Amino acid sequence: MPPPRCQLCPLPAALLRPRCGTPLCRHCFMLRFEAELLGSITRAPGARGPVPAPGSTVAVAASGGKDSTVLSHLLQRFAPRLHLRLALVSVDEGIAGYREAALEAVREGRGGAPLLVLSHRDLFGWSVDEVAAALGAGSRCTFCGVLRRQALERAARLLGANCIATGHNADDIAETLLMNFLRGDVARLRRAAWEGGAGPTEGPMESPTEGPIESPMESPTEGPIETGRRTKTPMGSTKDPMKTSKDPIETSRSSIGVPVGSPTAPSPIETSKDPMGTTKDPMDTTKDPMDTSKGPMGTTKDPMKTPKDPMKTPKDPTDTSKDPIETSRSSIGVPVGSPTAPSPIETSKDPMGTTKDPMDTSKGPMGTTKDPMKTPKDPMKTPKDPTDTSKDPIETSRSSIGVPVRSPTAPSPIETSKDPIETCKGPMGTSRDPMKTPKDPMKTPKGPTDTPKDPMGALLSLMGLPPSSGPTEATPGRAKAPRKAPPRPAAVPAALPARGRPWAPVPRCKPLRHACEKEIVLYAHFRRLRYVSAECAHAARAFRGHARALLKALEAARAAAVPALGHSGRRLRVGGAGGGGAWRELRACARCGFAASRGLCQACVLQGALQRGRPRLALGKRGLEEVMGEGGARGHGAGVRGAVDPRAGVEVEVVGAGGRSLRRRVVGLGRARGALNIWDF
Amino acid sequence: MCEAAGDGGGCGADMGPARRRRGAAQSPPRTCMKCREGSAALIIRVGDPFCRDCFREYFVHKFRAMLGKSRIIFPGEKVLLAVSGGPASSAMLRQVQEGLSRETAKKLRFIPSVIYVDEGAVRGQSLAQREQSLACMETLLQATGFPYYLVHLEQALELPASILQPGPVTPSEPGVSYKEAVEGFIQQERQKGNGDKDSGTSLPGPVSGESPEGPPAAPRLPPAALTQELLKLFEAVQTLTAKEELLQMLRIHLILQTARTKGYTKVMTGETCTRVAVKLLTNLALGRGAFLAVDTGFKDNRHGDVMVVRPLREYMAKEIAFYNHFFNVPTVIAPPLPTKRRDKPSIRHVVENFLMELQEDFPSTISTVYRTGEKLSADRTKPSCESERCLLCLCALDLDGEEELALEPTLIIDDAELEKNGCCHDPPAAGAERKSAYIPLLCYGCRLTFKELGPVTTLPPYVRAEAQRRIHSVYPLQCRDAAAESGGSTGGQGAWQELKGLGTVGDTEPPSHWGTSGAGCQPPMGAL
Repeated sequence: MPPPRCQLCPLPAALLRPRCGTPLCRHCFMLRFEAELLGSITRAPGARGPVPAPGSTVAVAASGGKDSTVLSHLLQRFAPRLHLRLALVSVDEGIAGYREAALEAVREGRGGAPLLVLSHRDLFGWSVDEVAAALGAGSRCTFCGVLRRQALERAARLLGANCIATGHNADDIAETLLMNFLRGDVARLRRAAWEGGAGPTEGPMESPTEGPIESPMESPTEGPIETGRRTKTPMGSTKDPMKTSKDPIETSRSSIGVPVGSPTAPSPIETSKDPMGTTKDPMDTTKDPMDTSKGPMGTTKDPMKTPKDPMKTPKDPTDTSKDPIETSRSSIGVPVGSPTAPSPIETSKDPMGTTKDPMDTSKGPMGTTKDPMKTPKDPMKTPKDPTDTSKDPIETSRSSIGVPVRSPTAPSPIETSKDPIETCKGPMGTSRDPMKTPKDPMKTPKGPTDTPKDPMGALLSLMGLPPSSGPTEATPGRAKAPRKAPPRPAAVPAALPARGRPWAPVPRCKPLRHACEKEIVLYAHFRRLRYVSAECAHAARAFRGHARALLKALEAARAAAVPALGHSGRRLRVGGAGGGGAWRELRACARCGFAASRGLCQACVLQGALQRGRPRLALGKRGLEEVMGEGGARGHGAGVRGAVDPRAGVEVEVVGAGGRSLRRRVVGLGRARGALNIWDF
Repeated sequence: MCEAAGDGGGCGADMGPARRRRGAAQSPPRTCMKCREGSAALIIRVGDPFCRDCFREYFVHKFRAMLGKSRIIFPGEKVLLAVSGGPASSAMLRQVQEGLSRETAKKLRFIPSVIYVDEGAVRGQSLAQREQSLACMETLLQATGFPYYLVHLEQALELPASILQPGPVTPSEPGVSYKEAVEGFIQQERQKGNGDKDSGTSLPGPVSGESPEGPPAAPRLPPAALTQELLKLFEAVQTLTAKEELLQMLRIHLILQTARTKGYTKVMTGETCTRVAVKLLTNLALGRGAFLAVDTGFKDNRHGDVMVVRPLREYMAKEIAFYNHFFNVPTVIAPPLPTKRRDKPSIRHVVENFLMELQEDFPSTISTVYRTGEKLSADRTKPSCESERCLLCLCALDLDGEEELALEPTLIIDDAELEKNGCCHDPPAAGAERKSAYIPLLCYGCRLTFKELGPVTTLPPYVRAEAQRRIHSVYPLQCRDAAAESGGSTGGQGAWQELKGLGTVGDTEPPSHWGTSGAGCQPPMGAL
């Protein structure tokens, strides 16, 4: 029997795609695989989940394994087109015989992107091997995983990334579902279902990036949140996407700029309204960040609303670069409270209202108009690269002025999450027809001379992105455009959250979420990508091993079981009982300041338990109390091996884009100072 | 050695269990943890020894509590017990028997009947074997004294298409609360007089639906032609997974049909906790995550007028086995579906083996999975209109808002080739009977299963008839065009004839409503 023909061209097939059994030749497979990845990180019709907005900064979690190697390879290929700025982030867990080779592979194969290496040992004071020694027979994978996630989070903050891209593939997701089901982890099942988008909401994490959704969507029907709130969202959502497309984060910022009295959950809504002016700014900025000419326009509008708070208006001028806003702020010396997390959402809504209302109302106090004028100057002073400096200046200005800034993030993540979801739904329904169109581009590769770009271009055009016409295509442009947008997010860390409020978690995206493990391996093979595959020495003890065994057996019985599990996971309807009906409000970890659902984040609980020499404690329910009971005796650990004072700074390894590698001590990593510019190395 | 370790360890937390274990080992005849008198006959869970009587009490109580607290089964309601002859359903049957024979205060107050579906044809039994197991089953059912129905799987081929539509919501409980209904029933009973206590419930004698019609022995088996049809249907199925799904679907449809025609409003099935856990994971892997709660929950009312109830959900398979063993509950063992390709087990087999193995190392595995399933809710699995309902499982389609890539596995590939051939114009009927035409009617999980079923022509007629109706009602224009082009005006009866001509239908009369359901849009079937 002759091998089947490629479905798209006359060549003999090189593989049957595990997901659907389609025979494809090597070339068509690669094109298709690439197009699919591109679709999943852009707003392809039907795509959901967080998507890095054009111009944002993406931290790619790179372990050196197949998934992350393929991911970083593809992202680097598409980055210029999508105007993304990439940085690789590796975490050295300190597992002898496992991580070294992988890290080396990451260093060699990182392409043009800069690399940031953090280690558990430096960050938390314990390498996994040491943890294992302390634990004995217990599950060290819990420690490793929790700490690694925290490390990634910190790295993303440090880089000012808007998004963390991880290499989770369809198999990983299915495996996780099985594992959570076997363990009865209802909370995680629920979260996964929500993040998958089938549930009423997406994870709050993702909301910030949702801004760019392009189609105005349906009314939100499902969310657990009361309709009262949501009704507004659809309106806002429709518009937001369009304008704010680039950085929801920025919008959040702008809102941050607004002096807000009460950071509590309900208030965000109101705050959102007030900051109307602010919300607009992002809009304008996104479109014509450069033109100052527009700036005034925006300002005129904003003033309308802002009459009360001149402070806000300054933001509008931000067109030049968002930072100026803050600089202006700082110059004005206004104490700013910033509700970061909640604000993005509402901000998105506001735009709608803002656009209309503001216009009609007063035209703007003079003072407000002036502020913008000044702000442009501030950036001037700050420096050399208006673009990059954006972050720095802000902080610098702030720090110099000593403006107290607070940002209450936590309360509203829930609401934020919902809006995006609903917005996405709309597109889904509508997009069905379009769905087919994307395929056509895929098929185009049939032509003998297909360039990989064709499908991409088609996809891009579908998504309404200018394929290449973007302002930033040319080298000079490139320098500018990506910078403008990204700096914004980068600056996020600069804003210190209010006491008790965490950093909004950096959204994670999984561009490979629909790719089967087999296909990834094949792609790496066809592209001759080098990766390391090593089994972690500790993996044998993980409960995940059982889930993996089951998955493999299921896959052998029916290949479609893997995507089917993914589908099931997204569609689970986890009831209200068990773990509360909704997202718990995130608080700031009392130690590290990152988001935590309890008093301390899990990473700090583990760390604390390790320090106390009772690591197993952290795995149980009493872990938190035990560690908290230790209280503020943070210094107490100083003498104990493994204690890391979070304030002392941490040493990280940086491999710049130029290839220079050095170790650098970063003070207050993940705490505040923010953006480490490793692109100019 | 153990003692030294235990005493010297100094870890207080570890001492308790260690001691208990030791104690257990040293004193073989443990006393029942409940009555503290009788010697334990079995250990249900770790550290829970029960004597025989207490175990029986416990077992019976669980069953009654399950029915009682759910308040679903109204007094005087007709309930159909689906009995396969296996351990669980046999135990269920025994429970109902005992419940009905109790004194009035504690009596179960519904009116039970039993249905047995003979699946011998697809389970690879010879005619003689089928006869034997049928006879076996019949004596067993006669002994219960309940009315019973013996149904053959072949009869599924004669089902009406209406089985794929939810019936009108039951009129049985028009606003009457459970409590009122119970009180009313008790009063009625009292008024009826104390004379004939058991008149309504336990008619001794087989008032069977089938046996009066069919003379005993040979003719009881369905005609060989139907059996051939059924075998053809099953042989065309590509995987064991899909075969099991198909069997399950046909079985429940048969039971449902019997319940509807004979006026039963509840069907009880004997799924145990173990079975539920297996089914949960299996259905996850089948892509039915959205419907887990309906597929495995205590009540399943997707069919509207007939509700499926699973009263044994809280029993472990082990408890059932011991109950049957202690109290001599007779069972009939049916062979499993024959597997020809040993290398490709079904998904259910994989899950079952996995869970049983894991259960050995982690004894709480099954109950954990079961309890996780309990946390799932069934809301929004009810479709609001026909176009949102899966053709086969009757659940609300779970595909809205799904990413394109995620749907890819559910699409049928040869679609593209068919379209290359000239779309639906050249062979006008191809559009109607192509496999891919069914896909939009199905939910994610059913799509995957459907892909592995054989060609459309082998499908049971009722499925095809209903699909035709749905396809044509969704695309009335296309339908009309196609019909016009084909020029063949085949009415509902015509469709039946066509199917018959193709050898997909046996020599039975078309179901009475066939004409109405099929006639509406004149499915063009010329080019099958």
